[in-house]
Amino acid sequence: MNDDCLGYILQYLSDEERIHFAQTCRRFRQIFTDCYRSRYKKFSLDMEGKRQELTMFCICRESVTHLTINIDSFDRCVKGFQDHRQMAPTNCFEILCANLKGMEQLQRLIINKRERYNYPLGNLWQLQNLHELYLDIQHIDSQNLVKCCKTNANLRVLHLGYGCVHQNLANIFPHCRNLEELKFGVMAEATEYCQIARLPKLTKLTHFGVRRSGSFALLLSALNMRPNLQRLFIDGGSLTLQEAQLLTGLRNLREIKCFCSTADCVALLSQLTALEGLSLWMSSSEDISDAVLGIISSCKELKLLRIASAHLRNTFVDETVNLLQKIRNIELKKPLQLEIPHNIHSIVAEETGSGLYVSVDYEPRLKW
Amino acid sequence: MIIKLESADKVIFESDVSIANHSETIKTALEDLGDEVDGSVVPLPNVNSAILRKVLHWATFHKDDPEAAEEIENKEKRTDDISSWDADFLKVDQGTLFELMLAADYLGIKGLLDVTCKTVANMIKGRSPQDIRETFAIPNDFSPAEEEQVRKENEWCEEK
Repeated sequence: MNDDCLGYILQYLSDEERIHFAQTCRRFRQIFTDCYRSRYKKFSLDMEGKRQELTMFCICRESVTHLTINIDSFDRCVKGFQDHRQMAPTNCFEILCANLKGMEQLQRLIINKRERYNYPLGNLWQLQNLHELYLDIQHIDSQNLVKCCKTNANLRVLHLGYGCVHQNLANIFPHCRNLEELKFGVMAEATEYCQIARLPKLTKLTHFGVRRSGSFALLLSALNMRPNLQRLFIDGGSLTLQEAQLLTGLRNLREIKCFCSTADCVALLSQLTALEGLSLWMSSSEDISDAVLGIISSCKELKLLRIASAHLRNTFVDETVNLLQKIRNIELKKPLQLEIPHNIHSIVAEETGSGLYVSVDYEPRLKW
Repeated sequence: MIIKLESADKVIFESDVSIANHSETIKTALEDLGDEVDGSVVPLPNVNSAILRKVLHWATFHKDDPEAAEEIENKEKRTDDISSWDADFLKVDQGTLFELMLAADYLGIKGLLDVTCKTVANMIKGRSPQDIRETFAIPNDFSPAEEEQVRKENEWCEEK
């Protein structure tokens, strides 16, 4: 029989029978994976499906490039299986880890786990070709993460859940020579962030969640030596004046997301003339209209201005239009995307052609 | 109109064009010949005379069948709808069955391919990998490491 005919025969079998077919000999296994690899190339494992699906996924594991594992669903899987047989979540996870080993093509791995439970992620370092790793989990053993970064030398993107590595985050950095994007959240001392500045290829850095006031000062001054850095999101904790001053040293920044507490801090951002996107959240009720107009005036490349929460004059949008009419060449640039709180009213009349200069949206918090 | 078909072992068969046209391969060949169909011979080097005789027998019986609608891929197709005539027709040894399937694939005769695939699928259904090997005399060529992998895959479906 030729391969085509064997492939046709598979269409007449149930999943369970297809698995038996694949487990008969090498050639049948190859025909099975040829037929089904595309289904599992990008796969999201949520344990809600049939067990046969999981087995078929494991048979095709060598072809998997993108995998999302929702561990929370493991806890529900006891009832989730259609045949109602019992299986402990830890057992499920062990089987998965054993199979993870063969996923030689795996480039993007996402592990989600909201509730606290210590699953042994010790097998992560058996993967070798990861480019992107997203660990939205409560805890990972620092040693395992170090091993994982060592074996996956091409890692470009690393996202870590808040507090997932408490201390020793710096231990991984010597092994992340190719890291371009780092997202993390931890309430550590400033000196522990500092090592991030040693990542040679870093272009995007995100910190989120609670942090100590002023804790980014050392890191920001260290990042001065990293002209690659283009995107910096400090998503939590208002910038101190000192931090804002240090931030202005990063002249290549194109995108910023931050919290500020004073208009003086905001005004400093106008020195970052390469900015294309600014997302701002004010933690005080001080009017920042003039500071923001200053940014619009000096940051000529600005495409997006998102002000999630702030006090602005009622005439702010009109003043923005007036300003852009003087400085913006509308033949070369699209309208400035302006997102402001809905309580700021615009009284711009349509006939002034303001739409050529700004497009206004009033739900900035939804897009934060 | 009668056309001539030549098998791999150089046996000439005569067939009515309406029957031969069940085969997409022959239909295409005839279209390529255009007006020169009369008297010319269509060579079928991948089908021997014993199999071609059976194929033509099948096509003659099914000459008035309507075209089957395309089914959705990946969904398990039925195998319990083989007509009794086809079931009798396919009461042959495994070698002949596989050759008929290959011929149906080569000649592009969808109905015959379907029914031969269903027959082989029924030989796989309800059988363990070991049973399948025995049914088709397939040697187990997995290495110990691959056997171990198979075991791990199956853990999903085991009682714990």
